[in-house]
Amino acid sequence: MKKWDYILIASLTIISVVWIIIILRGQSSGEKVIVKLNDKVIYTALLNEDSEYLIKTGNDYNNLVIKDGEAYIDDANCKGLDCVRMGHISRDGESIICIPHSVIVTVESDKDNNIDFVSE
Amino acid sequence: MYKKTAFLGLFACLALIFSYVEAIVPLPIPVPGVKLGLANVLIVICLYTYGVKEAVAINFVRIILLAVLFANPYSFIYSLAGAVISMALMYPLYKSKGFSIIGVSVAGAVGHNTAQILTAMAVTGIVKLIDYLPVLIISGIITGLIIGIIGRIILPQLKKIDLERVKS
Repeated sequence: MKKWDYILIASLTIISVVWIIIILRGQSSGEKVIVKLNDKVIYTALLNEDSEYLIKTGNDYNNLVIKDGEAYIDDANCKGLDCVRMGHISRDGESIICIPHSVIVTVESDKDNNIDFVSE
Repeated sequence: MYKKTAFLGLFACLALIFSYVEAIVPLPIPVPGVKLGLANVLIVICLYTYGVKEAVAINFVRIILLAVLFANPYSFIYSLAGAVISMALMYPLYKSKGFSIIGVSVAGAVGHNTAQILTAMAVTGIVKLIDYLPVLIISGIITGLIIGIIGRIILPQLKKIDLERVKS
């Protein structure tokens, strides 16, 4: 390895670690779960109440589970199942995204609700 | 000349097989979108043995064949964007002589991942995907290191064969 290899790897690592820390610090725990399909809100739920919701369009589905203050997709029929592998979310601004089905599940805090609904 | 054509065909074929294997056997890591990028071993080695034109050519052949075999226009856009950005980063680094094959391969992997996120943002219109970029940069550093180390092991062995002058 040459000198510039180390500089490249070190600077890329520092940039991404700092970036991740900034993202994580900006997140307080959220209260609401919002499901968007093709960028339209189709479902909202409270994070502290256990529930299940089947996001369905035609033959596509993603099953959203809210349990113990966390939201996750436990089953879906998209290719690769990335949305299932994205795991559990509970912090404000965190999201699960299923690109093939254009589904976004976001956790938001109650405070921003008005602003968010105006901007929809 | 014929030998070069044959070798490049072999490179393209191996790159295609690596991509195929990676597509059907995902890494057992709970982070979506992370791939080892084994095909890049061939691209980097081709860059070092034959040059940039040949490396771009076999990468392009690989992407076209993948698109034909899997008939997925979306993955075609993603791989093409990844290939263009990663070569745009790898070539100047390779030329500058300040970097070893490992630095070149890390830049290629990070560039590839960045291009994929940007493409996903453009295709889906979801700006939030940018939050995922630092994770993919780190994964690019790790996979780029692995690919670079593999390349560094293989390259001197290939040079022994002396690709241009193989006796048939």
